[in-house]
Amino acid sequence: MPPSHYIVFATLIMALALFIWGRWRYDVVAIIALLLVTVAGVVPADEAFAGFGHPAVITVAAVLLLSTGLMNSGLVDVISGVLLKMNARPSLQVLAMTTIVAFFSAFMNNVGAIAIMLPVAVQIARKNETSPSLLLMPLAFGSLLGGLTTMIGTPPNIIIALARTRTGKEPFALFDFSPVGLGVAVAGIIFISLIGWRLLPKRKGQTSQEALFHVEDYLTEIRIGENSLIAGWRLYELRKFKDLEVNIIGIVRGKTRIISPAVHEVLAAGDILVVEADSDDLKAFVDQGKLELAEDKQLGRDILGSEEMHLSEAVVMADSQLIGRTAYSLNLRRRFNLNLLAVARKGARLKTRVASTRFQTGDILLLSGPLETIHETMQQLGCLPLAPRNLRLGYPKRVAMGAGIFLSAVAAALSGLFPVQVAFLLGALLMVFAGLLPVREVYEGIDWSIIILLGAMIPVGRAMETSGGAEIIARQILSLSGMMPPASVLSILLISTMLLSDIINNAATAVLMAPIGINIAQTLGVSPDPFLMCVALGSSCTFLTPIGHQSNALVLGPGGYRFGDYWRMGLPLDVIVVCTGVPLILWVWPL
Amino acid sequence: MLLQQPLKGQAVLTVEFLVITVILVAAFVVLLTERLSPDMVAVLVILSLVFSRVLTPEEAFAGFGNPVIITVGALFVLCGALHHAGVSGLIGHYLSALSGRSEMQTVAAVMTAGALLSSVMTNVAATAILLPGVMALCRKTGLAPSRLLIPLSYSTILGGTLTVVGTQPNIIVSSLLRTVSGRELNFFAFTPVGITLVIIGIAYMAFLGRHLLPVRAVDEKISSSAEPGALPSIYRLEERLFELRVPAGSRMAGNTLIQSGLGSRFGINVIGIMRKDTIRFSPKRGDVIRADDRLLVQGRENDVSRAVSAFDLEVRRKGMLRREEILSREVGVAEIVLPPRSHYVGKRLQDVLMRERFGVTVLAIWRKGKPIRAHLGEEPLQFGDALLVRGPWEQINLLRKTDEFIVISGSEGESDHSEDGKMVRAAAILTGMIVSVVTGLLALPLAALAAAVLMVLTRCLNLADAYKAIEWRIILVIAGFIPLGTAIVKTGLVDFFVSTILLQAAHYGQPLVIGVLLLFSSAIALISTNITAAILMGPVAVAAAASFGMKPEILLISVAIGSSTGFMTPLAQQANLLVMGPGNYVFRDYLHAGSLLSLLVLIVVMACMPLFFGL
Repeated sequence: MPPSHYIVFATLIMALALFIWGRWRYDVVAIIALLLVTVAGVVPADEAFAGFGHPAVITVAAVLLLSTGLMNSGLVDVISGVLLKMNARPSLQVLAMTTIVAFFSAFMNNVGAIAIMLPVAVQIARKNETSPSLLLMPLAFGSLLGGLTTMIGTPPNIIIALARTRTGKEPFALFDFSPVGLGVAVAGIIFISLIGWRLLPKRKGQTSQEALFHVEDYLTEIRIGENSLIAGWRLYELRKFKDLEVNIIGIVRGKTRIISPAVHEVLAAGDILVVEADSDDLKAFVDQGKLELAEDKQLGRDILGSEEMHLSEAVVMADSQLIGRTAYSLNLRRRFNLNLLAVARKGARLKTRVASTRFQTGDILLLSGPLETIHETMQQLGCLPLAPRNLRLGYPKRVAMGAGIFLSAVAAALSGLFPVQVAFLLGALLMVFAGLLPVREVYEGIDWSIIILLGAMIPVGRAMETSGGAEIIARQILSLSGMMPPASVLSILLISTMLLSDIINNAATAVLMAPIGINIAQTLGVSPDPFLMCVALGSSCTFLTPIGHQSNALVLGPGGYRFGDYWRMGLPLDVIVVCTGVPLILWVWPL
Repeated sequence: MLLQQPLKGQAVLTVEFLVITVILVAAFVVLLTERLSPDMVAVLVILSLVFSRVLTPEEAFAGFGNPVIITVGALFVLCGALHHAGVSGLIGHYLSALSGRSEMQTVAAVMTAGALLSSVMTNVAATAILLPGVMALCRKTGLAPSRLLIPLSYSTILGGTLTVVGTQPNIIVSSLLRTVSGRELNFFAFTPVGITLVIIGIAYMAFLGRHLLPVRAVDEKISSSAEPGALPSIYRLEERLFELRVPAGSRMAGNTLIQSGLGSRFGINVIGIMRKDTIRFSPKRGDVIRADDRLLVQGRENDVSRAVSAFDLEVRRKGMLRREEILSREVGVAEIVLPPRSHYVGKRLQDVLMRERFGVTVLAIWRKGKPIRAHLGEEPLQFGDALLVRGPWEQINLLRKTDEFIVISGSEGESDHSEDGKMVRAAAILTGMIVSVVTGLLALPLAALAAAVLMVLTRCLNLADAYKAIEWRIILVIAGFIPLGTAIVKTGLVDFFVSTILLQAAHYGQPLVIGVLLLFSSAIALISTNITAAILMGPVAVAAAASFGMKPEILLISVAIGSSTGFMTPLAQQANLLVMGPGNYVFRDYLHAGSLLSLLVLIVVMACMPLFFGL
């Protein structure tokens, strides 16, 4: 049997490779890593699953629930509603949006904060006719910066707070992260709003509805003449035209309009069909069916304007069940009552057949469906609607209750009356009792992949520590940095954590880097606190790639960004984080 | 450990002892009154254990890291994978081969399938998979569903006792044994007693039990043999159908359906709008009503007459509709059931937007043996409801593909086709899991987790579906009550119970100890859930085994069987509730058929456990 730290190293290298490969999602990779170290006997079978009961996991879940409750209370709508009315210079817009998203994400999870603000930002950009690409990346980075400022702002902070108990001290308190976090966040936001956004590519108008999804571009009106082949057919009989992808959105017959006609609808001579198809298919369809084009654009517009054919855009989120499938294989039309009209990727509408396009994260879809259900259905499918959500205003009591419960939970945790996880779980339960969090939504409000990831990675992180692996890495880092002063070692730790978290999940980064940080401090014989803070800071600063954090991935499509756009603003921001972060850490948490 | 030593006298009354008793009683009262769902009670239990300082926060949350959670969660994924791989298709073939047999043979065959499937799947999942096939069989053969469905749910409950992974209480007691003695229950530890129970159960239901079940609706529901067309008459719809004409001067002309308030104000269900020669069925709420339209509506007579006078409508026809108005080649009616996982449980029908979302109209709800036909929109849906829906066949067939409903009738032969490879892979992974557990290569939680990950990696089901397959409520209930199990041991409540009640029983011999434990477990399961019963009675079994010198396996298995074999009410087991609507059962049907079976289970366990394990 090789020494246990070899097994841990081998497992970690494999996990790292799988994380980078990206074929399997991080939670699956984490479970594989956990299974490997357990089967190899590095982690005793009895402790293998203790991670799922770890306070960090409970706290992360409880904070996710509180976020959902807070969102349901309408508090955030009050704030974002004010913002929508704003008319200002780009710099000020960026400043305001970034500040607000940072404020939200200090108390909510980052992706939740950005999901609220993304539609607002898109609307503002459209109203002011600026490019959304100028607003969206600042928004994503703002949510990451805001997460730095409190313990509950982001999972890495929660992990680090509890990792402190390994050094024999109390866990970090809620606002212990604030001095350093606030300092870095303020510096970052000032940079973004003064200089940063100017470094971004101006992808003008690429998500504006008019340019991207031009109604005339994809809806065509076709008249069924007396001699037409298909007069008298039932709609499903159109399948006889093999290989033609023609989507009949509506039928106009005299004064009646049949929207989303059923497949057994009989087609009659004189009907006008409103169809969606790419130009080749359309031409073939007209030829084979002996049809005639009817240039009546108003019909298409009318049909799309109706309540049963409400138009809406949505972004495909990272955990959507759409990914890798096509509209055709999902049977979107019949199963979900949605018509997929167009798909945009990397800022441009795809020219290929819509129904056979495989969806990817960040795709923007133009969908139509009944007004009542379209938004709910989109969310069910894991898409974020780009239209502003229905503002839930006018319920001051709910807003007050949501804010009250949240603040009490924070106060209870701060006072040390209860441990953090107990305080927040109690808060979440109160949200349920107050009706702010319907029991049905409790389980949907939790991002399970992050829970599974943490539960599986925590024992792996511990194995790295107990097997002596962390110590070996710590010694390597120290021997490379020679006789450097601790401040330089701190900077190196910060930079390597930032780089690691750019390629793997930030919570996993924190789990793996925390023991290394502690070991470096112990080897140097200094306080571990600055090193832990450093790991917390580094894990959340993923500004270089879209894959480092879900927030970054979420704005990829709507902003029309490419992979290489992120470092333009991200690299200078990383430099600023290191330059402000290290001195602040050393000042607040002396060695 | 404390538990493995014989008891030393009476447990001491402490404050903690009282506190834990209060928490326990309070939890049961809340569960029994159903004011809160079990998962919320579980969270409250955790919090109250922390606040009362009976447990430290670490101990109180340790339930989430318990291997039981992993095993149960992973098994949900395995279950989901089997489902997605198309196990229901196989079952369909098996069941359709059964037609032409006698009722007795059919009951036995259906029960065998249920028991086998449920030995590796959860009871309710096995029932849900078999339900559509059994209903189709009933239509084909003319057997009454009420004679087959309770046997079905009983068989899945009995089948749960076949293996360690058959049902959640088994997993719980197995893991408990590991924590107190370091060894797990063998994968097939349950099998000898399980097989005995299944055989006796099948024999009982096939020979005697089925006669205790009503032959309900056989003449109505099935009369027109294979015709789903008989359904409206079972739901007694024809007496409530009206055709109303909208005259030119009516105040309704020009309004949309929703504006008219026919549904919201009068509780009337508009099934179709007839205009000239065409009928538009399942009209949507935005459809405009014009003068001269005729509305096909369903509702109470006085509601309809109120609407008629309010809008100056004309009643054209009352009562029976022509068959072609209800059914045609394209349009049909079907019965659908809400499974426990449906998002729509608890939602009002009008909020579900059946027409907008699925293109079908709900004509009636079947609940507790009675149809509900008026004011449907206001009705919150419940688990176990059967709904009669009407719509185009293609929409009804699509309902089959959602996870929200189980379509149990109107089958037009379109069975689930899956890639053949998937089923083979899923079966291979499952076999691999069992082999590695039986040979002792891997502990059960690790093997189950590895199998679940393999199912995802080999694309038997995708990641999103894997997460969807997990029932988080059940996970939470287990995680919440495990600390309570720790607490009742820690505070001496378990010892108290053993030294009073069980000590008395022990005087009359060890089988009686088994019997008492089994009865207590079933009683707790009846008033709370099978999970809580196993978690709370498990430690009692361990303590009793230690103090009476019995093998803990015997008592733990008895507790698990007691917790999971609830036959006497529909609420005892989700599987029972699921068949209540489709089988047209009422409460007492379960009591009639289940009492004797419960007694049989008790006798078999008391008699056989010592035989199989040796005392």
